[in-house]
Amino acid sequence: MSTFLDHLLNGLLLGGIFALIAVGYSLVYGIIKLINFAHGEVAMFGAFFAFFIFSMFDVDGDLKDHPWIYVLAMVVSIFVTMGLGWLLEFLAYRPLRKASRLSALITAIGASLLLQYLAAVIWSPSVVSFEAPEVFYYELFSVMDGDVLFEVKHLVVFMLVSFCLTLLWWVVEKTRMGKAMRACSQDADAAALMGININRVVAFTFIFGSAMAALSGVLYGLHLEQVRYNMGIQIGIVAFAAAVLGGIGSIPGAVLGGFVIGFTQAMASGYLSDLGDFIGHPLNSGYTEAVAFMIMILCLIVKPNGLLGKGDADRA
Amino acid sequence: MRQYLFVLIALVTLCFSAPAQEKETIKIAVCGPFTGGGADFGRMIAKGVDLKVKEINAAGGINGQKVEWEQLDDASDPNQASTIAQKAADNNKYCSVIGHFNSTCSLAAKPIYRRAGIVSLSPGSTNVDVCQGSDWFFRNLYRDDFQGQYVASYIAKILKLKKVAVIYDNDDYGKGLKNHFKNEAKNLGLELVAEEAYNRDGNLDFNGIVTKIKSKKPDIVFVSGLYSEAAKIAKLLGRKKVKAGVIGGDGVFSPKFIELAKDAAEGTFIITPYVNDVSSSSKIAEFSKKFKAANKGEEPDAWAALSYDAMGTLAQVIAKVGTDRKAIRQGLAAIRSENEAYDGVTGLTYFDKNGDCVKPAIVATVTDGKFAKAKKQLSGSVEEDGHAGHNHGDHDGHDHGDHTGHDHGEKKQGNGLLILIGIIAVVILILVIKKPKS
Repeated sequence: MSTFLDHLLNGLLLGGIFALIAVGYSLVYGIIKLINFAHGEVAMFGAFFAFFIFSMFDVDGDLKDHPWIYVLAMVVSIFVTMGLGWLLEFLAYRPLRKASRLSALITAIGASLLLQYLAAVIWSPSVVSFEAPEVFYYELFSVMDGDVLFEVKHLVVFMLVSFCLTLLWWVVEKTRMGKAMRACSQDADAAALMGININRVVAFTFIFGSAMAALSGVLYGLHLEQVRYNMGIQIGIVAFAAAVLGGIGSIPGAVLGGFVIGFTQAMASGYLSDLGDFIGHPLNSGYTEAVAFMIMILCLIVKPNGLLGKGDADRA
Repeated sequence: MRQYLFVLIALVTLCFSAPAQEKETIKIAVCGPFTGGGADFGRMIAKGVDLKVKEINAAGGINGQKVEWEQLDDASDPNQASTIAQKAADNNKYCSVIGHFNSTCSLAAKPIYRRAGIVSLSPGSTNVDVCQGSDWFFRNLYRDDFQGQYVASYIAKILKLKKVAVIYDNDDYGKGLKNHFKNEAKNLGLELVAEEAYNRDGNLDFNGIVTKIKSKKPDIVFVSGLYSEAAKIAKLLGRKKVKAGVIGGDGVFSPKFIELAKDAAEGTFIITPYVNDVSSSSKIAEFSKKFKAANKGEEPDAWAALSYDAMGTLAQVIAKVGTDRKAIRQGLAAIRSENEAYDGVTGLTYFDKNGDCVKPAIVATVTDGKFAKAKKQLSGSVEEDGHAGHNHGDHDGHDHGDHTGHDHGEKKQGNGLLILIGIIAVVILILVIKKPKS
């Protein structure tokens, strides 16, 4: 039981992190029908910007005793990554707005590789340490005789994720920009005729998505306590799967998909070997990702538009 | 026509004048992971080779010819490894290859080197099959069957622990080492309480695995993988308050492990072919001094030392037989006994009929943020046992063991797979039947 709770807690944490990235995929797809494959790399850059701040302040090696540096790094990283997201849209996608969707998709893959190797050249072609502050692991309360620890880490991640998702909901539903975004996603040409500046809306979408990706990248880095230049692919693919599972283009769907994938991954890494013993086939946590994607495929067979997707014939 | 003649004459003069200026350089390709999760191995390999090449050139080169090396990056990825192997093999300027590091890369590159006929000397691949079936592949360290036995004996006989949890990398190295460890663990009566795997680029989060292992309460966790994942595991074991030590194979042996795991690295045991223990021999002390001087005080690790020796071995052979690819292979294969061996910092390098090498293992442990030789080593007799077995190749015995193990697995697999296929078939059937109605 205690093990199950531990896996559940981990699943929720991973789910929140994936959800933040998955909404970025969904937002962009909803508006310009582009699968932004470089989005995972944007999250990775977010983590590396924070790493850059750490390495600037970490002169005595006692970084983990100064939580305020982490807050600073997080904020700076979010703002710089917003700039990166805008730059990506401006340089890579805007010139191709009128080109075929395939060209834009290929460009996205190219941008993803470019960002990956850029990070390898700028920072490190290897793994870098991304140590979490000590306060991150303070115990808030524990259940089951201290077997399951609810730490500050969980609280921080849950608070930040719910804050971001609420902010996203508020922006999309309650602001003028949100209205413009919704209008663009329904019919971009008509929206332009009504006087909406499409370029501004798209740029805003990228910037907003990148901010959330940056936060997610930093949180994921702190969770793993390591970051590397090619982690963007892994987290990007998982988050993309989450967005598709939830129904790409749908924001609540992306959030739901993120949590479903996170939960499945956590459970799979914990219980696959037991399942393997049960059916007599050597299974183990190495198949975690396969299980997550199998769940996605099964869901899509039953509901081809994703869990919360609308019945839209024109799917990529 | 006269113009053509002029050009021709110019070309011919050029051809003849070029070699006259200076003797051709000897070029060697160094293939390894210079980016990616194993980049720190590659960094050390490059430094080790570079140091030896500089020494050789400072002493006037090999028979008056200068040596040059070029790095080709396989990023620990078997696909990329075969691409660069082809590149190295096709390029006639390379007379031989040092590499690859990851066993899975070596296995991918092996057939390419064999077809092209170029020698590859690996300073890091320990998978049993790496040198088999190819006359062109050599290595200068021990194999995983030896290493796996060694880890099991160390846990059972020196640490005297009982319950072991294994976490292995799902590639040729991690899996092979785990299987050999498992066989020996069974013989020694160790209890395997958990066995979990991960994919290097797929599973980034180890919380699930460590939680699972925590519930099985092991005495020690054996990581059959590379340093970056081992660091994550060591750290998480501490975070989740699991009271179990960590023991790792040579894949964990990198200064980066300590850098990543920090305090959690303390007390970790690591089996390695080389420890930079300057008190043990004057050769190591001298190498360590030179390496530190060339690299701003950084200490060499096993991979730097093995690459340094690999380059030395090749240089010795090339000095004797020249730069012909085939001659180099004959030269290396001729090093068959201790008398003919290359005497380097990692001990004597000589090969058996496969191209495998016989070298002892050492247990290192992390104390005060540094690798040091563990106080208690496996006693001489056990080491000799493993040694002797290894020396003979012991292929028949091992292959036999492997096969029986495999058969078991396949039998089990058959049942499980049938059930799995059955479940999937039922699901698909339900979906197909349901579909038209909805």
